[in-house]
Amino acid sequence: MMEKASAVLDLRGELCPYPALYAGARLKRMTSGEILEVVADGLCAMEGLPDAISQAGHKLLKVETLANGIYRYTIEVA
Amino acid sequence: MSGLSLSGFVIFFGLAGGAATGVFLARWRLRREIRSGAVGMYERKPGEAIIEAKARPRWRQPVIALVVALVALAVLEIFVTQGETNLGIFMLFGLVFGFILQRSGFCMTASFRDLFTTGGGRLARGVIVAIAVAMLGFSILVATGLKQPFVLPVGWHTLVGGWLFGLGMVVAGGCATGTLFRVGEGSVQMMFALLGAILGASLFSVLLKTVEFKMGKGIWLVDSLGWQGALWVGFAFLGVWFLIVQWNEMRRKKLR
Repeated sequence: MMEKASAVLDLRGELCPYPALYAGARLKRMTSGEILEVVADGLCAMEGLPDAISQAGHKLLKVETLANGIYRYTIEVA
Repeated sequence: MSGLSLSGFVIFFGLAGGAATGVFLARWRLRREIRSGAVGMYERKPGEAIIEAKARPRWRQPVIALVVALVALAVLEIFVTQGETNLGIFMLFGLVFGFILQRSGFCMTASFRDLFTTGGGRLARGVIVAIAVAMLGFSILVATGLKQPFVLPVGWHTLVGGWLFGLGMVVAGGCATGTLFRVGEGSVQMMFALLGAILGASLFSVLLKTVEFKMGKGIWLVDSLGWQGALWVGFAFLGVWFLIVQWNEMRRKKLR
């Protein structure tokens, strides 16, 4: 059961805290059950983003490695 | 702060205030970009390929790391044979330190900044543990006479300096160590931040050489409170900070 993403954010190159802030702002404009995909790189992706997502109460469905240090997060809006 | 110098505690407050200001600026940028629609530049169509098929192969990085490690060992060997064993040991510590920092994501900047963005306290707790360990270790070294206490003059300028550093580290994206390991990760933005840090530190160390010790007196807590009192104050400070971090995390969770 692969849900289709309703929005994709490419936040590569953005340093902390921006990936978390941008993703958070986008998630606020989405409705419950929708899927957001976020592509990010660097430490913020590894640490800050999952933290921010879980702190905000959303569900991190999966994390994929697209290339070295570049990750894709699939988030279900709470 | 781990040296139980009063200035360290004052800087800590400055850092927190500066980080709060930095986060305020970041949120301001975000609000402005939402209003102007500039955030749209991050949007991609669902299903659109984001990474080019030619993305670098994954095996390359471990090989580069191995080569760097071997070169470091060779340099260490040169240091030791030249009688500069200390330099070699410093380098070895630096290597290990950098590895641990990167892998753990240990970041002073985030430890303050996350309190105001997500409320997450993981790194803040890490910093508390680090300072506690350093405080104990430093006390043992100083008490046994292996090291001189390092006490900086304290005054209003300490707070202003801490605030500036706190603001700067949030805007730049990393404090001293955070900047270094992000440069190692290949972040170009942080290379500029590092350049700025080197320039700033060099310029100001020359500029301030003459006035540095006219700015207030150094207060070493051990002088004024004794070892027991100073360590109590140090750990009580960390304890209170820990409670604030925990409370902040709970509060943000309830707010959502």
